[in-house]
Amino acid sequence: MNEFLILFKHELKTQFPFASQKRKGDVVGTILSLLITLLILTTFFGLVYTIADTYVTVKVDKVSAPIERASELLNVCYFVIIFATSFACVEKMRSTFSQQKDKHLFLRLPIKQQTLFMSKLCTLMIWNYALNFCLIVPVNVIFALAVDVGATFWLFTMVVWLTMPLVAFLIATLFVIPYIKFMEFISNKYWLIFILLSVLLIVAFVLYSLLLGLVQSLLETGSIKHLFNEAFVTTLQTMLNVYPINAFANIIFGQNLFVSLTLAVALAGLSVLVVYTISKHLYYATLYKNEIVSQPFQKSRNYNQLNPLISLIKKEFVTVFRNPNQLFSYFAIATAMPFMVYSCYTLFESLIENALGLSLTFPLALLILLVFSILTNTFCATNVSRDGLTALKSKVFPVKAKTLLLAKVLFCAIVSSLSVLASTILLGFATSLSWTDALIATFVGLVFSTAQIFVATKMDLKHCNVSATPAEMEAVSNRTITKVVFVGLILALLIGLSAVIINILSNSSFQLFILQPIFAYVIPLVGSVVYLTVAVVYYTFKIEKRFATLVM
Amino acid sequence: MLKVENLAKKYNGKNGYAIENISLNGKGGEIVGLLGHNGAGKSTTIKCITGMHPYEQGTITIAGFDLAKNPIDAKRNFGYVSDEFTLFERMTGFEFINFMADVYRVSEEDRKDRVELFQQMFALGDSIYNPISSYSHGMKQKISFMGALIHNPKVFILDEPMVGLDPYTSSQVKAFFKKHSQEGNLVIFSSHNLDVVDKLCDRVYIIDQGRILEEINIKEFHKTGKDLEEYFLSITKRVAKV
Repeated sequence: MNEFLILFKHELKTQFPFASQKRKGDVVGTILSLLITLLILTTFFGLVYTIADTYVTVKVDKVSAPIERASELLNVCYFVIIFATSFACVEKMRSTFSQQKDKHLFLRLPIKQQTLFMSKLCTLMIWNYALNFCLIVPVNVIFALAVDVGATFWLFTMVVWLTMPLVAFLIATLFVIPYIKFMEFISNKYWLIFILLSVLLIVAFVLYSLLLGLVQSLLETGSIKHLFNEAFVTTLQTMLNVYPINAFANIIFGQNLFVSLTLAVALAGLSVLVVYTISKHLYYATLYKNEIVSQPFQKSRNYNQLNPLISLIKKEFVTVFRNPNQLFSYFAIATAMPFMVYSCYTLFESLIENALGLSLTFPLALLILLVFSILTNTFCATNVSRDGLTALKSKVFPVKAKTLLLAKVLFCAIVSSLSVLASTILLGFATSLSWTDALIATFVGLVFSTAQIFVATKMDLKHCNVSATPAEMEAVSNRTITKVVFVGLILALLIGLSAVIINILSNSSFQLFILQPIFAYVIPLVGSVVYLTVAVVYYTFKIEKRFATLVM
Repeated sequence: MLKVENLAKKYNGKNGYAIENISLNGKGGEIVGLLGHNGAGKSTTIKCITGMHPYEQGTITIAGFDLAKNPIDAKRNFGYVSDEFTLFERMTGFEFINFMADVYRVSEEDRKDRVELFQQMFALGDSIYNPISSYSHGMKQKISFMGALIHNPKVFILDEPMVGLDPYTSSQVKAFFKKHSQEGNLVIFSSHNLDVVDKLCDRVYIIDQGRILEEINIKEFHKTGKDLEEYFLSITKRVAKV
């Protein structure tokens, strides 16, 4: 086979591992993953359809022009797609050109560097096209449902799909080198990474809750029905006039077709040229460079002896904290959780109060706290698998398996408990939640999240494959995470909603003896303790045997 | 010090045994080698002895403790260096050694003395304070040795220990094996390097296709005037064709 084709095939397998990967068992996990993905996609595209359907009916100067409106809105959608895919491409380019370890292997082989580079670049292009296809086509289908379109719409959809991804690539190429330099700079500044990620997450969530707050106030005043009015359209048109890449949406609806097509093709050509030149430079610049070499840490000559369990917990902290991905997945999310709980609580409290005239402080705080603690603890579903082969190596230690695993559970419980505690303290200080209610919510939250950690750790132990490739491991972990989230959400909804319902019914005119307000506290307390008991039994069942049979 | 009787191990999804009827022993003061071709069953045997792999049949006794019945005491008495450097790469070398010392409950004084001794022996210098992820192959090997020896184990088990070591460290390691065995401890390692086995070991077990073919006392073998390489290839039926 041709040298390029061999390398290209290898790259395709690396970038699209799911295509060649054998799927084993775990039908429940796979079905749940598919269901959740379907639910998210349906919600997202449903929202886009609702917006499109409303927007195209807006009249300007009492004239209805659905095609013009659709074109304007499609421009906004394409802007979001270009922004999102550029961001994804930057990281993908970094990992493909400067981080993949196979280049060290290929350097020893009689392969032209140019061929190797081209195989990587072509695979990257295919990845980018696949990603854009999954975004452009559904969005265009939505617009085809909202307005009448002809056959050319679909032809131009293909034209846009062929040209627009190159623009995202162009933007990514311009940012990739500064991005790599920045990543090198912060590579072992873990506290800085932690602060940056936490702040970013908090800011993102605050912006998101502000947006939700805006939607809420629009809903309350009823002005959401008139959001897309003439003034809105005029503002959007003004903004689009200075937006340089509006050619793609114009092509779709045949507006300024010749100019738009010429512009799109020219932009695509320029993109290919710039992408090729810069990524080639980047690839050769990093070809002989090893991965980021960490700077030495402070010389510590501390020989303090620690209890094995404490030392194992410390090891968990160090290994998670010094891995930027894991640091984000756990520490940053746990740090941001109190702000997320607070934002959601204030938003829903006023929403329920205004819509239903009810003050649901405790049940609402509890429900939100439980849901966010589930999201934070999804990380625990990688407690065993994230160690990879070192999990196997730890079988040599003169420590019982239950101690090794308990260290992981305790580490997660410490982080999670601090997060729950900070959340309820913030609610106690900054909202109308009473301190007694905050105390009870804290107790239920701690018990519930600890139960989640036990369940997540055991599920991971049952399904993990320590010798799997990172891609296989990610697929297995995703299925385990889905199952853990699913179980947790059902229980959280049962506990939280039962408290909500009891609270509503006990305060309503049909008061029943059985629905005394006290039960709004008793049911969550009993429910969470029962869940913890079941979780501990599930966790301890044959745990030593499970760990002993953990093999390559 | 180490006694393995009728050990058999089958891998999931495979029909036959990976190793079968493996019986071997090692006394304090000895250096014992497991010699075999790639895939002969050396690593599987070692992984069973260290408790990494469960096994179907047989008994393993380390320093008088049955690995199946009393695994913690058995494991406390050996140190193990694997052929893959599966280390906690986010830790620094120093943190890793301290972690291992905690796991094996080594006192502060002992760990300090041993770290200083090992630092001299393995010439790691200040790189011991760097993250393990930044280490070269040889440096990872050295830190594995230090972690496995921090509790001064009675039985030192190694899987292909010389791979990747520079000549200086290799000679230091060999000298350490001799010193460690002279102190009444057992050193047992797998290798396909006949020269190392020939020069270092007191006894050798030749493993092929999951079974022990022969136990050789090296001193007695040298008296016969035979060449270990030729003998090994002849009994494993793989005579070199040039």
